[in-house]
Amino acid sequence: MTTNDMPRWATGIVLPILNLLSALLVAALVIHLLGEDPVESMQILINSADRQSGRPVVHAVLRVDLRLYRPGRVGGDAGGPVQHRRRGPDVFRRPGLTLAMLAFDATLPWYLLIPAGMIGAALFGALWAFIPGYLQAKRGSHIVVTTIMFNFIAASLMNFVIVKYLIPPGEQNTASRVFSAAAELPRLSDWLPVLGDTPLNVSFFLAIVALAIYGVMVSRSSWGYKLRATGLNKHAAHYAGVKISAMIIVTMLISGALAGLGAVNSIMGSTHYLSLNFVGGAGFVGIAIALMGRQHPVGIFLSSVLFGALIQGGFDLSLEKPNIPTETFIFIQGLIILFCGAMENLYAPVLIKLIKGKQA
Amino acid sequence: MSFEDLHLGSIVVSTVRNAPVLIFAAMAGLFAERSGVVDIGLEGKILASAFVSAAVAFATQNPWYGILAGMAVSAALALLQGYVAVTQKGNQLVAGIAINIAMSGLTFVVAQYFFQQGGRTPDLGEARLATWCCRAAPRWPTCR
Repeated sequence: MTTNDMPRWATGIVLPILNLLSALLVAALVIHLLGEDPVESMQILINSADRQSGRPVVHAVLRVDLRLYRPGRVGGDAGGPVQHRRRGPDVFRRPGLTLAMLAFDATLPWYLLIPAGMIGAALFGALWAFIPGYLQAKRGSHIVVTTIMFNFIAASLMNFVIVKYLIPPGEQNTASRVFSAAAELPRLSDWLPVLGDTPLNVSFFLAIVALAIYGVMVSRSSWGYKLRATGLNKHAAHYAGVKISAMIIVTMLISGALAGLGAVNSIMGSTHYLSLNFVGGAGFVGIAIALMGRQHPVGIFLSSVLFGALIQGGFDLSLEKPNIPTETFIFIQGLIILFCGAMENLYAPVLIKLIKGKQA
Repeated sequence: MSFEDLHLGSIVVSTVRNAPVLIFAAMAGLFAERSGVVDIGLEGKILASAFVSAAVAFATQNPWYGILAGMAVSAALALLQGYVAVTQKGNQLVAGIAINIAMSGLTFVVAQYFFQQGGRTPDLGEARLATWCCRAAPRWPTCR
């Protein structure tokens, strides 16, 4: 009996929860060693993640952010876990969105401007990801290496563009000017005052729609079947008539466009200007969340909400506990990725034994 | 701009000084790559071993212990990665990313806990490798 024969509730729910608990156990141990009470700290973590009202809730944004990345990652993953074609750390969100914003925000009304920004972001993302995709498909370059290099290129390019062209005269901070109000995404708190002052905005729904489309496209369409076949065995898929290079390039285009949409939340929804480090490692974390969610839309949704909550909880925890710096949370994040992403089947043998024992 | 303005000497010196890190990282990556492992976690290993070697060198005031401890920690992380990839049949890339992220957090936390200097290790002073090398070779140009 392998993990494939296990019932879905076991692989989909019990295993991730067990992994998550072990990660938090290690984290608690570290917190204990730092001289703080782990139980109390975890309570602060959970409370602050729950508390939505009364102050700016950063985690709301972060959640959406992560969620937007995820489908990009999963789309890529499905394209090729076997031949290491996993879209490595994908591409920085490019400045396309901002350029569209800055060019038009004085002239266009919001109902044209916001779609223009989204399309600009997705287009830039797709174009940026096209190059590594092309190199992989036509020249056989290692996609992990090329995408990592493209991250560096994008980061330097962003720096150059911001410092050279976008920075307002007289400013020291490496950021573009603030967009006009027409470019701001409507916030959910405008309609639901219960939420309090939170940057949670409509890009949250955009993310959910993207997830739904991802789920249908990959699992329920013939194109998705070809995609998964390519990922499992390139040669077999080719023999069955799939155009491998076209598949790789299209997958990278979609992946890049989704990653570009990730920028919409933080730039148009929250900060309203382009700064250098707004990505904040979401590209890497996204890969882990995709795995943790078992590449299933619902799983991805749940795990990205969990990460968003943890990120926000981590901020609050470090505020209340002087012995626990913010970086503790980065460590916990790494632990969760390790346990839930890399060692996903750690408890599978034990669980299989338990299930078998019950059946016998 | 004259030839002296290029500071060719200092450029060469800093090039040589920065090269060993890349040489070691490249070799580490090469060993892994040759056996078919994509080692994304090198960054995290370098970070962890940098912290541990500095902390041990400071604590023992002996840079050689620092080097040994750094190697040990890095190898221990590689063992963890191997356990994940081989025993657990997990994903190598994700294990590497996890190590990178976990170490970028953990080194800061532990450094802050032990030394209270904003996540940095204290100045090594006499425990630097350069001081020890100069003891062995006092006539070397940079030692005088």
